[in-house]
Amino acid sequence: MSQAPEEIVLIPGPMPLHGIVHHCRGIAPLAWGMLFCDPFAEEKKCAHRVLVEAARYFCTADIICLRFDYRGTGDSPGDFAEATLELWLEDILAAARFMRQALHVQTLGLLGLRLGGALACQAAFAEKELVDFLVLWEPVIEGKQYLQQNLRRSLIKAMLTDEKKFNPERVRAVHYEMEIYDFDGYPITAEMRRQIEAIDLLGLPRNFPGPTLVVQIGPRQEPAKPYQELADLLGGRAIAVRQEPFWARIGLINPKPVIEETELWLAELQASWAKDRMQPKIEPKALQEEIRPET
Amino acid sequence: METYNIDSVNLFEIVVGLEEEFEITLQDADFSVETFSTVANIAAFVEQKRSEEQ
Repeated sequence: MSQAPEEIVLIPGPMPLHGIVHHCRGIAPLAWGMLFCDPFAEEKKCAHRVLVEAARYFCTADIICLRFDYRGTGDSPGDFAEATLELWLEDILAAARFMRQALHVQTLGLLGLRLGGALACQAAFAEKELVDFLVLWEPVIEGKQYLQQNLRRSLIKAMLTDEKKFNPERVRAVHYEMEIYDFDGYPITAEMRRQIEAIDLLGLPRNFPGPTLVVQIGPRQEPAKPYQELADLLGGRAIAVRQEPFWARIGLINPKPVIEETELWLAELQASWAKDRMQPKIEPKALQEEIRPET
Repeated sequence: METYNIDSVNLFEIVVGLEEEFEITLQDADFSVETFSTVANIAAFVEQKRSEEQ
């Protein structure tokens, strides 16, 4: 069977964003869509192929998928060093509106990986009417811990590459005292670092009304406590999928386990909502009126 | 580390795994070439951290 069509699009907004739409074959009977929210820096690079595979897989299940680059990343315009999480949150919301308006998606979900998971979660809370469900793959739950992990990577790299001159304090100083901070080889501003540090998904209010799947990916058989707590907070389900953490790997990865587990959950959701005849949160027509670009 | 062909990605995972499995928290100052140079050194380090944190 040939691959479903893919289309390069420009997502309108304050800064047009580069996106790829993975269309369903024929007309999607349920008009479901999923917006992919990418991880950050090296994790984005390593995860790219798996996310492409995931989008191609989900569109065969009648879910239109949109992958896009936040401003200043990938093929989207803008300066990486000027990026902030607030701007990327705006980008997610712009892409979500685009899916409703231009792609006629009636039931919309956000799929976020790592930092993209944290952003997807925040976007769903920012505009609850826009997002129907959430899929969070190994989301960054606590920004401080995420930055700490990055510092550790730097410590380990420095330790392995420069044994004699290795000085943990110096590595730490580069991370916390510079105005432009080296995040795994990507320059980010002190402001961006502060915004990442402020991420605390367990501190979100308990009011996202849509179904949520939280997936921990790794060697565990059961999700660790923070992932379970996040799922409980969001009224969703947490699962553990035994698979290599593909966002931290260079090399051949079999993406099937996490994709298939997610598809299973989506199929259950589709069946349950079809049964309940759930109506979309926003009528596409009304939304088109709301976000019609100024002329 | 050379014996087992451990690179920075592997070592990062070892550190995360040690923290999860033994419920310890490594501080920046805990990172040293000597600590991670042999399996025996890692085991001794974990024992020491566990007794300190109990």
